Amino acid sequence: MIEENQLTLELACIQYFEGNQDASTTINNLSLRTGVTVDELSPVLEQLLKLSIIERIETRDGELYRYVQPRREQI
Amino acid sequence: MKSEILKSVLAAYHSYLMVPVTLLNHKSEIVSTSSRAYASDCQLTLKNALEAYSIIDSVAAVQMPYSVPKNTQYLVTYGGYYDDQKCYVLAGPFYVSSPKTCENDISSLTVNQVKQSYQTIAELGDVIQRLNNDKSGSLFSYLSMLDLFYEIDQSQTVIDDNRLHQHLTSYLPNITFSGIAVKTNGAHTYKVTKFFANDQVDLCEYTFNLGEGFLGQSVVTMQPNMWENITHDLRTINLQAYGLYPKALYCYPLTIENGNVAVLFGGSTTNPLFSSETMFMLRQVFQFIERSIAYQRIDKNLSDVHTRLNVVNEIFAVISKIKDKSRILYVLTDATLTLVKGRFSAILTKPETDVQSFDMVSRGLQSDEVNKYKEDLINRYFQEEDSVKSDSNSTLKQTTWGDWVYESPLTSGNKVLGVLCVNIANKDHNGKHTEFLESISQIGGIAIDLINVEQSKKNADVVIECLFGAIEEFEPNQYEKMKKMLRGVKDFSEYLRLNQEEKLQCLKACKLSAYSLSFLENKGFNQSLIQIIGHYNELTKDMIPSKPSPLPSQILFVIHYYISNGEIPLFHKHLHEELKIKFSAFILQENEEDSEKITQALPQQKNISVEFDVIQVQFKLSKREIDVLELIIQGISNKEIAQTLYISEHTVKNHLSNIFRKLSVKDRSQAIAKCYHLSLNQDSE
Repeated sequence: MIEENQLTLELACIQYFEGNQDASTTINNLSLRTGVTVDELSPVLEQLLKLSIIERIETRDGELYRYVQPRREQI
Repeated sequence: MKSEILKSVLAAYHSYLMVPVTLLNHKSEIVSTSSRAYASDCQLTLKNALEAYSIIDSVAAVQMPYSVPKNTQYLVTYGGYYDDQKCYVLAGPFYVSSPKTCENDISSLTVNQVKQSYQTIAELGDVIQRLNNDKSGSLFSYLSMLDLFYEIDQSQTVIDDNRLHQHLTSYLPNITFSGIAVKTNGAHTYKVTKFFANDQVDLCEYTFNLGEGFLGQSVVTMQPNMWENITHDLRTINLQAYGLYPKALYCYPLTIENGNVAVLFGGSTTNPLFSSETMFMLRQVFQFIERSIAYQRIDKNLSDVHTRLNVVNEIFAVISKIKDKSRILYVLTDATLTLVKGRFSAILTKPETDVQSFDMVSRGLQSDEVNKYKEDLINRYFQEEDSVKSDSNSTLKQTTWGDWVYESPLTSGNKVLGVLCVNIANKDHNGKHTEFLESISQIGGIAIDLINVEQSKKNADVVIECLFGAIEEFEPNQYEKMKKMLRGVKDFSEYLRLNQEEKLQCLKACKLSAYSLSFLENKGFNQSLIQIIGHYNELTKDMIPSKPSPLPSQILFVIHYYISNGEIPLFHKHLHEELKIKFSAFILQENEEDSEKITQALPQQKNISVEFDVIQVQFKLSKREIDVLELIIQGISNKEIAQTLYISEHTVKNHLSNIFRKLSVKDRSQAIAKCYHLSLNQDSE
């Protein structure tokens, strides 16, 4: 995947996860919502996991992804 | 053979010789050309030449220069090569001093250029002639090698592909080894990263410094160099340590990514001399690679710019939909981290009011790092009371624990609202993110500022409602009066057709009008609201205003006066005359059904009567129009006026239109108000 597509998808996923902070979703569900294939989404989610923007939870029904809120401190 | 190969070869020849080159078949038909502009001239030239050699059997080369036809001087070279039983002619470069048809199209060459071209042509002709004479298929091999460049993935540079060196050693006569050395992370050290040799020698991992040996010398000079008969040259000692004993060496330094230099090299361990053919080929191939890399670099830069614009656009689209400051901070933090792919990112925002605190949102930072970094940022960006910075460029800073960070202030106008920070892997990053981060921080700054303004408006609205509610609790009578006043302000604002913002401003001021100015100051209300109340207070206390009162203050006052005294403040000196008329008309219109109220609204103490004679002269009203006006002021309807004056209703309407026009009023109530107002002024004079 070319860099531009990857970045655009990463931003789209950030927007989705940030806008649904309490939701946990599967890669298939995310694929349906974004209209992007699972194969294309997979490296995007891996990148977001690597940056700790999202986390992966293992469940009986498979892997779920959810947003990790940034650290916030009011000084 | 692929047409792309032909095009690339001809383009290379064109570029090298700086004149067009065309490939024709034995029928003088154009097979491929480096420039369509000159193709027909070339065709004509070659046609004439081919007529002289009507049968080209297999491969042929003709001595240069060649002149055809008579009296027309062409500087022509052509060689042929044999492929798939077809015969082609390679033509060019050429120079035309006449005929006239060509003069405008082909630039003239200076004497020196002609001389230089002749030498180059001779060299080229020699190479072509040799290639054709030995029929070894070398030209085809050379073309195949160029074709290889098209096969190599465009995302890779050709220098990263081993096949290049394999081809060079396979196809070029006397070239037995080939490789490339690139700069290592060290400042002046180079390392061979690709190497191919016909024997078992492997030069990979060989490192050298600037100026060291032949390769190091080539980097320093940045010029292609060729060395022959170097078997006993001491500069080969380091190469010999790797088992390479070159007898001839050719180096070609070229600029690759980020201004770094690489050295392409090739040579022979068997032959101490390069043939002119090999020299020519090596130079062509390396030049082609250099241009290919330059093209890829330009293409990559363009693509990067395009990507950044798209990403900035995406971020802007996302942020513009978000109305919550926290979410904007989260998106900015995550988006910048995603773009730069650093270890952490953070945003520190400045408090809006004294009771708030600094807000630090971060991802990837440890607790102790957050504490150290936020103090550092506050000290550097917000130490001064009012942080105003003209310089909003991003800067590269080092954290106290040694990480490199791009810091870009979040600005709106000349206010610094915060700082966007993102870690980069190393200091030597080429800065491609700088402008990108500046754009994002500017977008973020504006978005945060808009939200802050919106939030402070909402906060002020809550306080206004609380203060208004408090009046009900502590002063119920006053509260009832304020409610009447609010209704009046609302209706009169609508009557005046004020826009929504002006109307809201009047209502907010009305709700606060019971409080003293000293109480309202420093409560976070906007200054225009405070000013309205200040001027309103001056009007109620009949003070001489410091400057003309704004319209909302006057509206508040006329309503307040009417509710308090039951009459229109027609004699108030500091009210705008037009507002008085409009307010009179408004009151008349509001009480149209109740003539008693209208009578009460008009000031009784002056015992005024309308001066119709004065009005008739001043506004040039006809006798009949004055009759109609008198009846209007008595509150009589159109139908009754018609019956009283024995005219039709239609005529009454005509008279009314004329009266309104001459008095410059819009309706009946404004006309009445204006008549009373004029008569009052007349009376007071």
